[in-house]
Amino acid sequence: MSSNKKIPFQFSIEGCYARATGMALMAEDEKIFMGKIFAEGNLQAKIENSFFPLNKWGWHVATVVYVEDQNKKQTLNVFDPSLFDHPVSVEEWKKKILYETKDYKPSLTALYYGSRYQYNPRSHEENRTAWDLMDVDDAEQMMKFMRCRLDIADCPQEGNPTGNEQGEYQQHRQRTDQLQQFKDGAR
Amino acid sequence: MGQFLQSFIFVLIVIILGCSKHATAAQFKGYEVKSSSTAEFNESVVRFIESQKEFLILFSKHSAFYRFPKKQSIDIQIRDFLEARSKTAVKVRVKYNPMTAEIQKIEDLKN
Repeated sequence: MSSNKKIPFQFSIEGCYARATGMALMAEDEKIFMGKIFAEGNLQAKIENSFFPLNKWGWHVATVVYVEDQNKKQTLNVFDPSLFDHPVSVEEWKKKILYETKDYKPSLTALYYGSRYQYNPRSHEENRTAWDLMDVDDAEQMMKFMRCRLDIADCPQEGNPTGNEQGEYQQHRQRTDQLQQFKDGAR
Repeated sequence: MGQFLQSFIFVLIVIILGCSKHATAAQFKGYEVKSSSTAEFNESVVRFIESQKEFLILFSKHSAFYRFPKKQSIDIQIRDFLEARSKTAVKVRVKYNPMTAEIQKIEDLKN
């Protein structure tokens, strides 16, 4: 999964929500149903040999799944290829996102689990019980934007307001905002 | 009469100071930082924290802390602006460098 070029794992500075959803969808195709782990607070992660060696987030999300070892013991593993090249325990993941430097003392205000459908943290959105097409679309657009920035995918010429990925992404955001307003109004 | 005039002037000064602070927050447009890579979004300010060198700002629908470098001359304006915006769901326009998360310009949508 970590070698999958569709999911821009190297773009650790932003978009964990899109990557986690991309991973959960990909796993679902293989009949693996992942959950998500959310951390909220003033977070910081150091990533060796990365485009983004030091990342500061207001929250972070990754996928989780129970893995059974040879002794039939089940343990919860966090899959976060932006931070690790292997599955890790929740404790190890937590430690990674609380990397302290001289001028920045990270802190964790909440750590909790959600279903694979949960896109944003609970402080931002209600519980999801099924895929929301707006979230899936947002994840696709965000990953496209990140791939373009990393030069993984061809990035159409800048300056063309209808053709470049950035323009498309802005249009998409406006469209999803309008849809959200419509949904809110219908409630 | 003199005392009344003094009180009146004092109240007037307080009102003017209060209004000017509000106007500063509403009219703040940030400053341009030139960069080769620019992206833009319109989102609301969820919360912000301050380090010695920069303001770290969390916007709706984003997980990264976007960085606004401190510049002594406008720090108070930025703080006022962010405090006011973090109390509402009103969206602001943010121009930033997606490779560094550094904000180049932040302003109200109506400007």
